[in-house]
Amino acid sequence: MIQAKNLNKIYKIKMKKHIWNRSEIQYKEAVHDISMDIEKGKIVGLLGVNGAGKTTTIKMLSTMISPSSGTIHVDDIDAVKFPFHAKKIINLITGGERNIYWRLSARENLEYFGSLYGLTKTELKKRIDYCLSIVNLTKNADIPVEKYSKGMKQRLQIARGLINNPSYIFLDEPTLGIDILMAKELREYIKRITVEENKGVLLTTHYIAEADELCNYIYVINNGKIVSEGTANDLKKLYTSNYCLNFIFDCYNKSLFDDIAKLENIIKIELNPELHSIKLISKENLIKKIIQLSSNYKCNINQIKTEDSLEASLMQILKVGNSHA
Amino acid sequence: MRNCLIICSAEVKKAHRNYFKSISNYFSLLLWPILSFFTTYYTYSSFDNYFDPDLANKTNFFTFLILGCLGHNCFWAMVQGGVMQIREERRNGALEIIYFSPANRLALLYGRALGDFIQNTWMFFIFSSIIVMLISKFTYIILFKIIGSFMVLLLTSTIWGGLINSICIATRDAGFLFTIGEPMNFFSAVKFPLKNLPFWARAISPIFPSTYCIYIIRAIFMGNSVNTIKILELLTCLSIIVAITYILTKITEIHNRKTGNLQFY
Repeated sequence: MIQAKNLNKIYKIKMKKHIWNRSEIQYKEAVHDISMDIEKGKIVGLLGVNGAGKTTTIKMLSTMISPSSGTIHVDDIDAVKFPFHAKKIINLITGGERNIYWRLSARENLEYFGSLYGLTKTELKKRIDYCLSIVNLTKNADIPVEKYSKGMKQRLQIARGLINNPSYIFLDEPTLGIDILMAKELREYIKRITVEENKGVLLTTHYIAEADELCNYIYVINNGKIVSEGTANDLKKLYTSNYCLNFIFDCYNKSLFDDIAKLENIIKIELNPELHSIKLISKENLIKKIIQLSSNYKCNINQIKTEDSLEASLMQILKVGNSHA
Repeated sequence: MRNCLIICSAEVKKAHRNYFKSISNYFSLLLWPILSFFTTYYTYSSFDNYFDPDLANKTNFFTFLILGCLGHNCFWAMVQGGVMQIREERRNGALEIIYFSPANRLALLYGRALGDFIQNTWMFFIFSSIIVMLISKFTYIILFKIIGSFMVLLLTSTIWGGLINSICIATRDAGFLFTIGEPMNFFSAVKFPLKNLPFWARAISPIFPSTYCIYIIRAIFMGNSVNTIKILELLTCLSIIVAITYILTKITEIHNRKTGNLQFY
């Protein structure tokens, strides 16, 4: 397990002044008192807006930068004191097309990055074949990366992140800038490597739906502090005070729809006579009242859907966080 | 040790696969050094009475110049390769991923230098060797001399390259290293004998390991006895360079972990 306790990171920033004046030094606290756990076989999400402190946190956990204070343990290794020991069992996958050599083929890239972990020729061959097969790049293994599509390059990034068979993987916005089909495919890979290979994953993403779909546990970070944590459902329940309901009736009855629209505590309502449906957001749970009204008008309900939105919850969390800041 | 060898070998292979892809390489690796050599040769040949009587013999003069150019070419390749490669890797983010790994940092630096040495100098080295064999009488001794010189060049250039690479990792503004070319050419006495340098310049020469390297390979080929003191001076110079590289690498690693500077470019 990765255990981070009371992490703080303070950056020293030189403020630019006139050419002849000495630059002024300011201190910026990027991360304040963050604690988190990442278990094997689980995907942990780190959500927050730009500048919230996600990247600094992921870089501290992955030993790329040292915390100003606090401890990080990767299994039993003190990653702050012995980063080189921790580096052997972790890896980082970033979004985008950078971090790989475009003139080299996928196999050559993996050969190079695998060698940095001291893998011998035989170990490398086995591992490369395995990693390429996981991301479906075996057929294109010997083509220069510059000929790859964006999605293929991103898949190669995943293969690179798996080359040393790490116990923990840090995924920094892995679906950044790729289309929805490819993003879906990548999410499948992420799920597979987490469950089938029992890897601990820390995922940062801007896409809330992605976190909702993938993460077993979520930390929400704002202004360098963790402002909320829990499963996606916990966060939705905790922070969504409104009810989002979706009804589909077997017929359209204008009077019924009008009466529903007149109910109290409705914040927003969308009526669709063609689909015989009503979608509403209310301050109280109106299911019972609507069922009663529909039976009064002898109109059957074919489907009721209740929706919680993680995005709405996140907005609420960040709003609360900002008002306390 | 095994890991270090794996890393060095990976760096050499990567250098070949990544940077040796187009025909334009032949211009920079062979044609330009040859042109530079002939420019120097014909410039000096224009003066009937060359100021050094030891080099009055055309063969000696030719050998003297080509060995100087070869030595300079090897050391300069380290600067060019180091600055360009690391700048590119810093930009495309590969450097950050490389430093994310637990790879031995010195093995990385020396592996890169070795890769640059082999990639950037092999053609001119073969050209120079053929020229030297043609103008001297071909004997097996010449072959041993070539192998010996190659070993001296390999060792000194790689250690020098390690230092250059460590500077390039330490600062993103390592472009200033390109200004070292001409001073290195002058103080290492690439185009004239070291003894002809003025006193003040001879005092600066020992800073560059290329000075000793060029002196030794010239001594090997031109029948002069290799001065033991020069060898000791070279070893001292190389030891100091290794120590500086080691310290700089450690400081850079600590500094980058503190500031996250490796991601900037």
